[in-house]
This record gives sequence, C-alpha cells and structure tokens, in this order.
Amino acid sequence: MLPSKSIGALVPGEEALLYCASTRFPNPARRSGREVGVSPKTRVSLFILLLLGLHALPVLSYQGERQTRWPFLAWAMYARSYPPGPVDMDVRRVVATFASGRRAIVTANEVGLPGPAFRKIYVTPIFKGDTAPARQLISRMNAHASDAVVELRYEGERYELGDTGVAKQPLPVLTFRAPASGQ
Amino acid sequence: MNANFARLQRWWNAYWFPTTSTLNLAGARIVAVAAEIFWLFPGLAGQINLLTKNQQFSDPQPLVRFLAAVLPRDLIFSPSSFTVIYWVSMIAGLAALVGLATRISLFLLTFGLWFFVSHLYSYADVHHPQVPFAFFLLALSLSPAGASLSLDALLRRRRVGAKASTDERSDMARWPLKLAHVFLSMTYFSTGITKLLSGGLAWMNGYTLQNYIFTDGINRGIPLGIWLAQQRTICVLLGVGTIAFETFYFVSLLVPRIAPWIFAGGILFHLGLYFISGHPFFEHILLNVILLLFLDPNWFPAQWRKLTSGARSPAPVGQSA
Repeated sequence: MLPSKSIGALVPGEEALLYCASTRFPNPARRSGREVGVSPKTRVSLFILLLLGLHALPVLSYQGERQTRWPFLAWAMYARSYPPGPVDMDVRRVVATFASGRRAIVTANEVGLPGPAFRKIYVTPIFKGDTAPARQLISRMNAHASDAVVELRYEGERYELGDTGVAKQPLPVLTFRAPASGQ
Repeated sequence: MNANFARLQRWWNAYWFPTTSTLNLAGARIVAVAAEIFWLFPGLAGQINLLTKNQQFSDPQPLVRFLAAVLPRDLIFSPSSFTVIYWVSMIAGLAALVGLATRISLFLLTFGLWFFVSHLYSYADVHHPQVPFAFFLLALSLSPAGASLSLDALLRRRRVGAKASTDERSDMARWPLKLAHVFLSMTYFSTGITKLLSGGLAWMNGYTLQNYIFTDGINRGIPLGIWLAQQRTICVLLGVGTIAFETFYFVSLLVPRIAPWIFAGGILFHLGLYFISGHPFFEHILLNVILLLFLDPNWFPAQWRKLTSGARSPAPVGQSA
C-alpha cells in the first residue's frame, strides 16, 4: 500500500493510473538486470509453511478410513485401546470353482484390488449376512474370464487367544453358485 | 512489532537456512534416490493390474483427480502411458543418483512416485508409509542437492577450472533435512497423541498391544508376533515404549544433542514393527537413517573418533605388561 500522503486525495481510478505509470517508468533495479523477484529463501519458506499447514486439513475435517487427500493424511492409526479379555481373529478365504473344474483361492491381485479393499468389499460383508458381494464378485471375475467361475466357497478359521494359548475353530462354510447363463 | 518480526525472521533463517556444506545434502540425495529406484518405487505390473481390472477409481486421490480432469483418461490412465511414466521415472532416478541435471531428474522421479502412489491409493485403500519420503524427495528437487558429489558439480568445476572448490557451501543445503525432521516429528506426535486421546492410558495396558500384535501375526503369518502376543508383560513394556517414542520424538527438535539417539530409536522401532507385525514402514527407517547420518554432519565422525580413540588409548600405567 502507498502511504496516504503520497496518494493525496485518491479517487476511484487513480490507483489504476499509478500502476500504469510504473510500466511507463520501469523499476531501475529491473532495468539494470538486478533481480527484483521473491528471494529463494522466501519461496522455500512459503513452501515449508504451506506443506506443514496443509496437514491441518485432514485433522480439521476428518474423513475416517477412506481418506482422499494423499499425501495430506490424518495419522490416527491403531488408536483404539482394548480391555482384558479373549482376543479373536478370523482368517477368511474365498475359493472359486471354475467351469473347467479347477479350484483356486481368489486373491486380491486376481480381482484387481488392494488386499484390504478386497476383504472389505467382497469378504467381510458375507460373514455378516450380506450376500450381494458374492454375486458381484462372481460377475466381476467372469467379466473378462475365459474360464468362468461357477461357484464361490467362503471358508476360514477363528483363532482365539486366551489364557491357555491359541485355539482354532473352523468358521461356517458359505457357498454361492453363479446364476445360470441367461438368468 | 517490527522488532519482533525481525527477531522471528532471524530465528527462522537461522533454523532453516544456516550456511553449510552441500556434501551432506548430496549424501542424503544418493542414499534416498538409490533406495527409491532399487527398492521402494511402486512396481509397474501391480499398477497395470489395478488399472486394467477396474473401470473407475473408488476413492481417487488429488493428483489422480487433477490429471483425470485436465487430460483425457485414456491418454494417461492406460498401460502404455503407465509404462512410459515408469521408465521415465527410472531413468530420471538414475540421473538423479549420479547427479546429472539433478533438479529436473529429482522432480521427474518425485512426480513418478507421487503419481503411482496416488494411483495405488485410489481404490479404497490408503496407507501412510510413503508420505514423509515423498515430501523429502520433493524438497530435494527444490534444493541444491546436486551441488556436490554429482556430474553437475564435476562439469561445473571443469568449466570454472582449478579455482572451483570441491566443497560447495550454501544456505539452502540444510532445509530439506530439517523439513524431514520436522515432518517426522509431526507425524509421530500425531500418531502418539491420537492413541492417548482415543484409547487413553489403557492403550498401555498390554491387552491392547496383545490384540494388535495377535491379529497382525495371524493375518500375516508371523510366528514371532503370535508368540509375543501371548507375553503380556512384554506387551505392557512395548506399549509404554511406543507411546513414549511417538509422543516425544519431537523432543529431538528441541534438544539436538540427543536427536541422533532418537533417530537410532526410530530405526529400531520400525524394524521391531516389521518383524513383529509386518508393518512395512521402510521409508521411515530410511529417513531416520538419513537424519542420523546427515542432519548433524559432526555427530557420526565424533562418535567414531570417540570409539576409535577409546580403543587405541594406552592402558593405564601399572596395568601395562
């Protein structure tokens, strides 16, 4: 901003005139070739402040697990605490039977998803009673396959950590058949 | 007000922009780039597999959203474009390693990393390991990381002749390392304080860590983790250690004298996490190694001298043979 005494009684439009004047009479420093722009230190300082400041964004508006602001992420990992008691962990598998009779475990790589996303979308909901993901998985796998999936078998084990060690129990097996062609 | 601002500015400049040798930054560049291109850079096959088996992104990250908005999707999100971006990144990485057109090479490598990691995390699965390292590479590309130990420096010395010094000094040679240090402190503090705010002191009750270690151990098939999950006393100690390390890592910013020991602790912390629970925070290990070796140029040689002078010092009189 210019000091008021140099502007005098500024009326609308005068400010624009002042800026025009500066182009008619260029800055002598610029004319002589000396650098007039922002110094490298200032540029780097602004970069540092911006980078650190942007980390407030995921904290102020927390998105939960499905964050879409990489690399500016909230770092709330493994934050929950657990009380005393048995610890259990379910290991689940999806086994596909193909039209050729071949059987194979369905992997996240084969489906084209990262492992956690595959489990979240196509495996965990099945064991909670939602059957739709099984049908979606069959149609996804059959979209470009030469050997079509005819059946998906969801199976697994529950591992329980108690005072006496680790116990293992089978989980109930759930089977889904692909709809017959034309259906 | 002006005096306060001037004081703040002096402090800011003294912290981020002290005049130092560029050798340390060059060393950091070599270690970081070598690790990135030979070890950490996302694999091309996995990227193309994700791309070809998905019609759309489920949670596109900002860089993917930006590129998809300004360019036709088929132009950049196709196997052939991915192959080109991958190999340009690799060649740029090799150039950055030897210090040829260092800034541009580093920028291209960084772009490749940001692009592929953003793409990987655009399918409903986001993780943290690459973040600090991605920022560090970006910072390197804006710094005089090629002023020493590089072909650029060699060519410049040839042009200038014998007058040129082999040890370039600059006030811009420290800030990328400092930024990595501040950034690691921020992320560790954020992780630690979230545990305390969300889980409370119960996070250190042993049961919490038994739970996490057991589920990871079973899920990833790690016998050491499954065994450790059954040792509650050790889990209590590890819980206290984890909270202490994460919450107080930032002390290394305030007391530089103890910083190297905290960096060494960081390396052991992440190695422990990897072998017990399979968490691949290799980039954090690498950044702690880089800070340990290059942030304070005098610390490592001083420790070495102390060690070797201790070994060489003559036995006290009376004890000699």
